[in-house]
Amino acid sequence: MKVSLLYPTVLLAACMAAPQAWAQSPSTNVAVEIVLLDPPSSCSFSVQSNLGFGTAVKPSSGTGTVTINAVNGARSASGVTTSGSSSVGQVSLSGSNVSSYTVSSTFPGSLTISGGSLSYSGAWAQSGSTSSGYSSISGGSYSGSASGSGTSFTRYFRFGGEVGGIGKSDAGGLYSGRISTSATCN
Amino acid sequence: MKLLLLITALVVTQDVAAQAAHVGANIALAEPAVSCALHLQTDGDFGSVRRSSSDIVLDPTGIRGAPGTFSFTGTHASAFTVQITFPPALAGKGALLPWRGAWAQSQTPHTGFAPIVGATYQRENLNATSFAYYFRIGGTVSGPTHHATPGVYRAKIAVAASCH
Repeated sequence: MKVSLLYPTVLLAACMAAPQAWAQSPSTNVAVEIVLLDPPSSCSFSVQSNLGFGTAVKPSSGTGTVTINAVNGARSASGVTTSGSSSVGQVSLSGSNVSSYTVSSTFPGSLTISGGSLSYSGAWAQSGSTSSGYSSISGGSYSGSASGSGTSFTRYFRFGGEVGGIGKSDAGGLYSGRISTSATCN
Repeated sequence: MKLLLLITALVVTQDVAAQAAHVGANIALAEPAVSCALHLQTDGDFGSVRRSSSDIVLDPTGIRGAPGTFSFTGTHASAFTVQITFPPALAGKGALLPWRGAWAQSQTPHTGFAPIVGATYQRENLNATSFAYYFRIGGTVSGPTHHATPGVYRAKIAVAASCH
């Protein structure tokens, strides 16, 4: 808040210029200004787990597919056998003083290894709870609302999808990719 | 004194271009484990035969007699080789009976046996997750045998296999 110093200055000048004018009633204006800001809204991601399909054994013939369900995290396979543990990708978006938010995700079209690739089709889901209640998200973005100023929120997102076209001629090794997700909070 | 207060209130709404995150995705692709094994099923038996001047034949492709049988199974192999070594004779009580070994193979355990020429049987470009081949062993005891000492004559036939 800014309060002007004009008043005492003007008052002093009036007294010096008209010492006889005690009957006068001087007036002046005092400007007061305040800048009122919303509490700053903020949000940030936290990555809980990466998306891991585990190990698939190459088929002797034909092609195979490995899928991780983004809603429940379950792994399934056809045409190949799998081993090792799998994990659904999961991030949380937490924020405060947020009224609405939009999360966008971009999935790679393939998982790659030096000199090779496997086709990948991404899928994702969201929930207000970390371990249950996930709903599939269609498309590349999801918009939600929060309670605004003075509150905080957390939303959870899971990432799964399907790795397909696994064949005998594919190179053995670790194929990897990166899912990019971003959020705008208002 | 009049005092006029001019109050200006400015409310600012801020947009927050928030955060970005990256989630790694990976899958490990493994070569199938190649394995194969030989399984002895029955020894060969010419049975009891009378001494004669003729050859004594145990046909590995036929249904008569009791040829030796074994099978060869495997998983995820693209090729395999089976080698057999026939001894030149069956050995009895201090005597030998010359013989020529013969063998045959099939992909079913009881029918469809075809003779194998030579001591090696190979298959390549296998495209199945698993395979099973069945083998029969017979041969011919060369006549004449009418001067041979009566008794049991035996031999061991060595079989080796590999796959990849």
